[in-house]
Amino acid sequence: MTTPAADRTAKVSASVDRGVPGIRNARLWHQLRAVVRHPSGRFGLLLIAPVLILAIAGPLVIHWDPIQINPSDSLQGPSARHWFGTDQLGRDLAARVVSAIPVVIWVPLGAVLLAVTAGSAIGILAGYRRGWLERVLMAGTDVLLAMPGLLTAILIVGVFGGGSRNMILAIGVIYLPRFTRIARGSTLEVRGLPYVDAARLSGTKPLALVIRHILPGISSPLFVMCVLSLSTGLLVQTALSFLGFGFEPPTADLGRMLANSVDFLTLAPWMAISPALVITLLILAFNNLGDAVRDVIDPEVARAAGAV
Amino acid sequence: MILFVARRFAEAVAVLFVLTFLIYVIGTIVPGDIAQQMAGIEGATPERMAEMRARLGLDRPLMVRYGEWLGNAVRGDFGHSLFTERDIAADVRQQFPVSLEVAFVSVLLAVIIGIPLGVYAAVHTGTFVDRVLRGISLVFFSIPTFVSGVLFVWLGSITLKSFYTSFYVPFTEDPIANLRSIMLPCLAIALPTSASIIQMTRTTMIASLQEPFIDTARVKGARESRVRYVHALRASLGPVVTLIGLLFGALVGGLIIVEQIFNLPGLGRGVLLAIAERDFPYVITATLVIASVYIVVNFIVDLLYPILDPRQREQT
Repeated sequence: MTTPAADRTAKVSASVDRGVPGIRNARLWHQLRAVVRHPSGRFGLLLIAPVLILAIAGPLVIHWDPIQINPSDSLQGPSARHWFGTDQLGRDLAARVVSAIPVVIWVPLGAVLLAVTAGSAIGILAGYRRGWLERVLMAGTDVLLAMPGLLTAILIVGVFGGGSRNMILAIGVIYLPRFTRIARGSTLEVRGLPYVDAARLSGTKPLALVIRHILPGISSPLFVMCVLSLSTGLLVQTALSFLGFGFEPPTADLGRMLANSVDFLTLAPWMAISPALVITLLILAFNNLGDAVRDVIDPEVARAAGAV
Repeated sequence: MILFVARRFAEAVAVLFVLTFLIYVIGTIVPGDIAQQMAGIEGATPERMAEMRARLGLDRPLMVRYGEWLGNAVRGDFGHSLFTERDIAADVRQQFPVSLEVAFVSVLLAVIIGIPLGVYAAVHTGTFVDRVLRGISLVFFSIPTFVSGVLFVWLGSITLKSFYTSFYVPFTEDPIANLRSIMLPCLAIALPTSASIIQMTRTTMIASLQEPFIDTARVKGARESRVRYVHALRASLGPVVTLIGLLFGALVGGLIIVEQIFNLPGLGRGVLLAIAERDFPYVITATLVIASVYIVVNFIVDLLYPILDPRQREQT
């Protein structure tokens, strides 16, 4: 028969044996709560909520087809029939905006995941192996950094074509150097620490050493950079769409919708308002969330990474 | 110092060298053969394709072609556009000043708006004006250039009609008309840029107002305005200048977008057109010019930092 107290002790020591997931989860929970309590974090969530609600509930209440052309309804202002108005071809803007929201969230997310995976691999390799390999990899990073981000993205998407996959690739490539730099810098810091030496001396293989001992040590700056990168990812994606490198028409695409509205601004300003508002709201939301996450987890990251 | 400059210069040249090679390779493996495109779909018989490829030099090895391009480029000959068949160097020489002017005026506007407002907010921390400024700059910071661009097109088409000229006029032709034609594009870029300058100036200014050297200046009897606008402001400018350097990447993106929206005959719109037309000789040249300017700007920022902030001098 064990007492409740002994039971608790056993649980704690068990979790210590498993590599402290219990403690780490508690810290994660605490940090999550701190992000929500942070004024910027709360503001960001507040802004993102209406967009998410629109994206999720929109298809249930709006019965217009986003690509269906209705010439008789063209260039109508917002009304009970067409909430956000219609475009020059009579397509319902509410339906188009709603159907375009998922992409502007998934593409930046995909790009950030691609960049953080590839960037950490390259950065850890460079920081752990050192020597000529490090110099070659970091020189490649410098070359990428010598190009303005949007120009790189335009070149990639311009050559290989638009669509989600290529946009993720293009945005991922322009983010790659930031993550490589952070991963390398953090690896250099961590690799000299006693616990890494201890693991190496006790015969841990390099790959296991990196995954089990180095990666956890460098994960928080990488995570912060991920969240900070979401807003610029969305910015680049919508900019590419705006310039005509996004999705093929007639697919609804916020950037292209805004670009199309330019020819009808005096006649139908509402054509610009809904896409512009959704894009700006999301960027504002991601910026604020990023600030909150940075403040909570790692205030030093922004300085280590530099901006793009 | 000379060593530092020389090393940075060598690095920059190496980076540009690799960059041109990369773009050259990408431009060659691009889907959709340039020769086929130029021969036309119907006219693309194997013989005609071969003739086209020979005329464009595509039948020779990649390294040979790149070497030849590089040799010519070093002498200032960037070849002819595949699309317009005009001399690329001449075209770029005409477009570059347009982009440079818009960039310069935009940054100037952003600095003129951003630094005084940032200083004001820092000196009056916590007041109503400070809070309003912070709110506004937070929102403006998140407005993409293409959104502010569309906004200014709209404003230009209704209220600012009498001020704005919708086609580009070169400065040498008519300075006033020139400024009128670039005013809205520059504002579109300056608006989000000034927001980040306000934020940065405010933050660094608050920090420097608490430094010991501010007390020293006060004790030595400097007037409060001098303490604020000379001593504290100067120490705060370093990070602001760095920020402007970092914003340059975004500025290039903004230029590409704004030139597209406002139909300005600059380098950014040139690149967009060239990519659409698969005009790779032009794309390589324009990219090289943009990347060079980018590197030079970052270099100047590195040099300015210790000049503006005496505390940074010992380290470099």
